[in-house]
Amino acid sequence: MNSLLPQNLKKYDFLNHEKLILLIDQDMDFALKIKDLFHNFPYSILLATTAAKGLELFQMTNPDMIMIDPALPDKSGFILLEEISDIARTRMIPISVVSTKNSNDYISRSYQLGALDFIHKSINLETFIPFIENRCSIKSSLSSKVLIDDLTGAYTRKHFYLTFSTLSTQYRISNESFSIGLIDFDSFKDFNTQNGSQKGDDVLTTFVEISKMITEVSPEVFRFNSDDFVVLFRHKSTEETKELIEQIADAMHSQFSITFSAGVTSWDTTTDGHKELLQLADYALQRAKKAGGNQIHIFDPLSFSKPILRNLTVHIIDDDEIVRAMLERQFSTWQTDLFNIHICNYENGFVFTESNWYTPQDYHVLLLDGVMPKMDGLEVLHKVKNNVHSQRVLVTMLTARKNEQDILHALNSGADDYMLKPFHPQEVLVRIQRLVNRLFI
Amino acid sequence: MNNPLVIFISLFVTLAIFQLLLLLYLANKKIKTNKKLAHEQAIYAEAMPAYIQYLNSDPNEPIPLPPDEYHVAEQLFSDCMAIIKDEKLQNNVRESASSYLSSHYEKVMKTGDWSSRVNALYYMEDFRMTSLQPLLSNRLKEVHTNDEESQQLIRTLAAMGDLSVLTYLENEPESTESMYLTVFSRLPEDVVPKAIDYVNKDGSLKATTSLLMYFGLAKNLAYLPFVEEKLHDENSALQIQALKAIFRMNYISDVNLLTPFFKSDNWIERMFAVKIAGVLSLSQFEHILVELLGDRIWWVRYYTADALLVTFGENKLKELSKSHPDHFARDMASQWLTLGSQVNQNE
Amino acid sequence: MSNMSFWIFQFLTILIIVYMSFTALSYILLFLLSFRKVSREGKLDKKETLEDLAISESTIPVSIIVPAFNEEVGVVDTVRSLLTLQYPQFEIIVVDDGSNDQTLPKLIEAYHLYVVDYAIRKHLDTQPIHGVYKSTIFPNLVVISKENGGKADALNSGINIANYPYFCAIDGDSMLEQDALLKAMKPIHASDGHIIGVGGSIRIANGIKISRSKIEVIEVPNKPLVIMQIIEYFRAFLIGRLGFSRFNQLLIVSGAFGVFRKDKVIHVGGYRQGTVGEDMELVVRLHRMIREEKLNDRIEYIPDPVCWTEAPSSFEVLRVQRIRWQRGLAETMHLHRSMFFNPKYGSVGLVTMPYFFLVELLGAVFEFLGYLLIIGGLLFNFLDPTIVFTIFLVTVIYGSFISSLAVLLEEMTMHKYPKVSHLIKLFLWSLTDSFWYRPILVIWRIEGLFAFLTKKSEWGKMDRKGLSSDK
Repeated sequence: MNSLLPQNLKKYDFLNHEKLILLIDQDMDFALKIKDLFHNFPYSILLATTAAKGLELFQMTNPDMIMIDPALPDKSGFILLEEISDIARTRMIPISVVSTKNSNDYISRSYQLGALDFIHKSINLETFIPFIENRCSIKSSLSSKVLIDDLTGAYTRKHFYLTFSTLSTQYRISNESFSIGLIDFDSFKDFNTQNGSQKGDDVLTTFVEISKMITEVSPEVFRFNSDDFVVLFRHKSTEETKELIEQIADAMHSQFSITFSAGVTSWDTTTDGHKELLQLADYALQRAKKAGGNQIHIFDPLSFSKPILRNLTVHIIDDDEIVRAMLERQFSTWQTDLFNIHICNYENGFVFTESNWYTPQDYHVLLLDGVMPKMDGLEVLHKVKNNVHSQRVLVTMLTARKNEQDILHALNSGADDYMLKPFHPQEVLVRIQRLVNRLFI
Repeated sequence: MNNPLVIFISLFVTLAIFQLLLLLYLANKKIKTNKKLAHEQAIYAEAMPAYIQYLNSDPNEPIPLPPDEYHVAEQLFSDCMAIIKDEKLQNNVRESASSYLSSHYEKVMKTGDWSSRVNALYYMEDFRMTSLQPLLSNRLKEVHTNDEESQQLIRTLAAMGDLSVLTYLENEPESTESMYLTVFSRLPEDVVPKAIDYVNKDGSLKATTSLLMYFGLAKNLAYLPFVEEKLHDENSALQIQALKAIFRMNYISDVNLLTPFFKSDNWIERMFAVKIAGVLSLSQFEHILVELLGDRIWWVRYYTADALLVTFGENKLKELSKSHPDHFARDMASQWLTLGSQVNQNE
Repeated sequence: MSNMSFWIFQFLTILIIVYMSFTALSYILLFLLSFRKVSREGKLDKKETLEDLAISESTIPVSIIVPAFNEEVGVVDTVRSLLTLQYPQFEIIVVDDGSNDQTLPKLIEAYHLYVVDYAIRKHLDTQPIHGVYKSTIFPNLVVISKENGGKADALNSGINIANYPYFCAIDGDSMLEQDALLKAMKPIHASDGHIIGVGGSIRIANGIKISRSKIEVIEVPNKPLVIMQIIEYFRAFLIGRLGFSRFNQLLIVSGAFGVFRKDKVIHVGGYRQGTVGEDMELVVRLHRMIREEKLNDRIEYIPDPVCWTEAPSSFEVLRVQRIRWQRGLAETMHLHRSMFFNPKYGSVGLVTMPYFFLVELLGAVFEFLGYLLIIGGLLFNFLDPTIVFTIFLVTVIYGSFISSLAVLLEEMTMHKYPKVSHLIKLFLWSLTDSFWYRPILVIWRIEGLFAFLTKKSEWGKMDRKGLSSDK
């Protein structure tokens, strides 16, 4: 079976490699310093300049740590803090309040609303790195000890690994087998945006309840990521598992408008480890998604040699030909097992918006220059954000305008990240890869 | 009347012939320049992708450029320098530049005309061609006019870390603060301490002010001791510049350094002290700030209100807008309350 | 023919020959004075010399003020071209001066404007403001809508709302080259604020191909009337202004593109309302201030930064424009007549103002007389043919030859027109200058003088086609 396993399915491999810090702050000066500071560390800083964007990123990305400055343009960061602190606590995400103010009532309010720390912005930034490392490591050591998911009552990923190792040792001797279904809700993020995260949580909780109750075999349910689950059926074939999951789907359907897709595979003595098992299930799941979602696919070894990759197009929009050439070369080195990477060049925003760049089924990364003739980067950004409502489009500004006001405006207008020119070609690629890993996978 | 007519006819004919010849000369020159331009564009278009490939690969291979295309080469190298921050790549470009261009530039500096020299100097700054530094500092001793060439010589030498340009500026009566500022901002970081020593020893007022300005812009806390030391300077202009720098750097090692400035006779010093208190939210100065809200200078009141708002919140200002004994202070407080909300709306 | 009138004609003839020779010579001298500097600086690598300013954080931010009255055709394009300017920090302030066409709605639609509350400091008195708008797309775009009050009033409202220490005034139908603002601000930076005004070059946009505010191809247009204006602009900018600027005697910074230090302009009271030549008037007033307050400030013309503007392409519109210009010139001279020969104003009062009066204002009268003498002499034979021929030669030298020289000088310094055929076309047309274009201009300029003397006002309305050649 090893020969059948190409290098292209490593989804579960790198997800936890680096830490993600969500910084919700409109103070560009501070944000730039923090970004600079962590430049050489395995941390990515995701920046939200408004409370709304902060909430969205919090729900979408499951960060390892959150920093909020209560002075936000759209609403007070304290209100945001109140909204997210409960969920953050259940997910064990530490929240720090950072501020240029340090009056006593400000500090006590931060703590009351659920912040773990209050940090004044004038502190020596060097001390920030160990502080953040500490906070993040507490989080990961805490979460690794937890076996039951707080929100849904499902088992955790950690629990799955334990179960797997017990079962595989036991079954290897007794020559028995089990099957798993890897389940992922279709457009869960959109559902959340439309119906609120409370409703989204309901879906997840109900899913776990139904799965446990609907089948007489009482499968074990594990929650992997926010809306990724694994259901494990002992002594069931893949066909039987598929039928059982269909029953769950029917029951869910009677209550919610949201659907899910599943990939099913079974364990036998030839299977290597949990990683391989999950990869095969994920492969089937991706086929189910590709076929339109709301389906259950069984892993089929025959089709395996022709992996289906999703298309990801990197659109480089810049009026400077040498910038385009430099970036194109850098992005051509992008090796990934998850996407077919395409690179397209445009000499200005107008050429880009007039082209038929957008294909809804594919993923798009836009690298946008700020100042271009014919159509400025900000105008392109505005057009893209108004005309294309998709979670599959990621926009990064790559601009020479260092003015804090300009950067802030670009982020408020919906850019996912910004980078400054002159740039570090390697770093541009790495930052895009990190964002893609966080937002597209 | 015949004589003047002859004069005008001959003048007319001379002018006509002169212009015609000039036209022919210029047209011919234009044809040549256009050809050269097209040729260079073609070379550039061809060499650019190859060069980018080359930059990222083994630097021992020859540079993918036809020989003696100096103009294309300097353009290509400087275009690369303008967009990349990666040190390794930058060094590769610098190496290309020094192997392809340095002997050419040496020749230009010795025999080229004014504009070629100035152009070369700009590129040398971009490429940090330190091997040519002795040549350039000799050249600086020779030029006596204050023009683009001498200014660019100074900038290029500063970028190479040559501190003799400071001596040159000191002896030049026309040197401006912005000239000093361009020098300081170009110095490589390891040379800055030497520049501080120099300014401490025999720097003029202009040099010291500019250095303080530069530290404010650079926001590098390593230079804080120099800045804080200047707070005690007997020259009030330097004290103000130091306060400005501290305000920009957003940091002060000991807040007590500020205390005397709140009581200063010079309102600009009071204003900056207040601004610093605001930006650092120094709540220990509450009493002084409340007092200064009634300062006789509008700007001091203005920034005091800002500092109070930032440090103690809207309620404090609301309270002061009613209770402060000075009516200017009450006015300013209430003005800031409406102004503050307006600022938020505009965001 | 009586003896008396013979002597009068004789005197006139000599006067005109002397006048024209003097003027032509002064033009050439003025140019030669700055030719070396311009030609050698013209060879500098623009990208390199501006790079520093383009990325530095300490570059002085600039407010660009665009007064617009009934500019529905061009204003959206003008703003777009300004948005893509290469400059680290600037804001664009469009002042809609009570237009009764679609100027404001077009801006609102194109840039997604919304109304903001804006507290405006009143440094200068202006007509009431109806509203202030900002763009959701571009944070640095502001539009003011106000009661109609004329160009000076619109510019003053822009100054009131401007946030930055320098402002740049641009006509609503003009287009700046991308690096024009950098080039204009470069000497200001180098002077530590002692340069308080900078004028750039104005070029004629008719005939160049512009698509979405980007200059694609520069071509020489086919209309003779426009070609002649192109040549006339070369002449005015390269020959006239350079020399004056060198001695800090520059009296005109064209309203289509000028940069000024805001506090100084506010200090002298802003643009003067109710004049037609508010651009020149302001500059003269700044000179007055410099001399009265004994300042070390300068106002400079820099040939490099280029602003493209649409020129009238019909005789009727051109006529109205020229009458207005001449009137404006006369008004400014009249307003500041106390500066003439006043030693308090140094060389500006002693030399430059009188020179302007003689050459720019009265030039039309002398030329007119010259043409009269040629025609009259030929038709009625009251002059010796050799004298008529001499005047004719001088007129051609003064008109056509200086113009053709201007074409050649442009090619030597700026060479904005890319093809050899452009050069030859411009050169040949410039030779026709004395035979039709100048005489027509002379008549209009005299009309303008009369308009000034009789205070008759005739407001020009230009038939706008817009700059973009898309569609």
